[in-house]
Amino acid sequence: MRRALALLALLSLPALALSAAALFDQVAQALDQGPWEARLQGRIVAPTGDAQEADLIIKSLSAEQVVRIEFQKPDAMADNYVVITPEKVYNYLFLTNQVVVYPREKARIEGLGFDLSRMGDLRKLGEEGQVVWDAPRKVNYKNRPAWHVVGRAPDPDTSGFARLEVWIDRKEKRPLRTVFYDAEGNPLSDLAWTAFRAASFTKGDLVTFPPDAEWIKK
Amino acid sequence: MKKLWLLALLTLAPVAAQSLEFGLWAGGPGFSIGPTVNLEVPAGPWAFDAWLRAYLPNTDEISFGLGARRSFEAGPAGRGELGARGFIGMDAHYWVEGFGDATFGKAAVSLRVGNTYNRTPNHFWPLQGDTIGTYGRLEAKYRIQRELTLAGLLYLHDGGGRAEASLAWRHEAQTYTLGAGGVDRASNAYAVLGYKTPYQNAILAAQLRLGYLNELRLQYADRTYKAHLTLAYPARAQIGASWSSWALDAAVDGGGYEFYLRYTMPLEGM
Repeated sequence: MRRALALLALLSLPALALSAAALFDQVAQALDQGPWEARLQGRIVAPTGDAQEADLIIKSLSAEQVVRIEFQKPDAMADNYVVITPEKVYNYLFLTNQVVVYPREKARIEGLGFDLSRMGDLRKLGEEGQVVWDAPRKVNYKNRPAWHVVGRAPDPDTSGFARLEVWIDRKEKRPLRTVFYDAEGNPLSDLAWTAFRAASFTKGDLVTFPPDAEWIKK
Repeated sequence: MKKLWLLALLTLAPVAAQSLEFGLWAGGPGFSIGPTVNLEVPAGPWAFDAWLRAYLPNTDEISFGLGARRSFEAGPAGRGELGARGFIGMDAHYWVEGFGDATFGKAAVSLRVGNTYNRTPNHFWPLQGDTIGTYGRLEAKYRIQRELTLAGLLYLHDGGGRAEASLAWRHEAQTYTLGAGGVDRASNAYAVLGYKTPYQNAILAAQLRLGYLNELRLQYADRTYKAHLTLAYPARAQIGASWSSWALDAAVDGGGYEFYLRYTMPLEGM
């Protein structure tokens, strides 16, 4: 009888464990509560293969599905920014004062080695089959209770990366760190999410560009 | 032949074109007007252009043009474009130009090389300069650090040239520019001063060249309107404004005047 109960308990474990999809649903719900702003700091690999220090500010307005990514570092990208809306992706180049506009489906922002326009939506990566997620594991990340989730891309050529790892704050349900790897296991980007805070901006605050910029439509 | 070109442009327009531009040019000395049409057809990273410009009352000066360019993308910090365009006129005149632009991280470069025969580029397309013969124009920018950008210009053409270098310093939202240039030779020097600032929801910019070249440029841009004014000595003035799908430019100097009004009709999705 005891053995049967133990077997039953073991068999029921997968059903009780949190799936990656369910975890990302919780993250999405937490992030969708209102506008937020976060700073991503770490290292990215440039198209030339050189690793560079990265410092980005992400501003998200989930209700409108608008994300604005402002580059502070590396120096070559400083003051450039990318604005992602459901229909279009806008890439502002500071040096030439140009805004390059792409239809969302055509946009592939290759500078970080993978499609930057989709990195925020972990749930969608799984739904679209670009990433197969392992079950989340409980860990401590910098003395903070966290979930650690590993995902693998079945088609690295399409996704631009082969594997990624995500650490998620167990209490706040928000990302703490994301690392993307290429097929050889080298990190394409390793970014820690810091200075996370609720914000109060509107769509107009995010989808805004210098009025004297030159516009290039793709 | 002329009717065939116009018919071809208008027939092709709805097929895959991104925009169709109609313009009305007027200029002198004397008076002539030039209805113009520019059709732009994008195809992936490529874009093709076709131009037709009539000249009234002297219809022998009608000109046709074709252009192709290819863009390259290299992430949030990089992009480039390579292309060429050529124009030919009915009474043995032409203009050909090759061009390339590249931006990658801290550096940007732009090169144009061309040749015109019997007419200036202005004749083929308004506001394109008044050089005759072979010319080359190289512009470059380099970001020394986040607040400092070095810019250079080298313009060579039959019979002369111009070189200029300037340093732009960004302090908070303002940008201050200081530089120097020379026309034909170093002794024909001039100084460059610039200032750019946001004002309410607009950008205001002024640039002054003083010395062998005397020129004041003022620019205004907000979300709806862009305008610019250039005053130079020896006497030359240019003014322009653009709003919505419209743009208007006018220029006057000792040799005559030029006026160009254009409307760009977006054709995406047609």
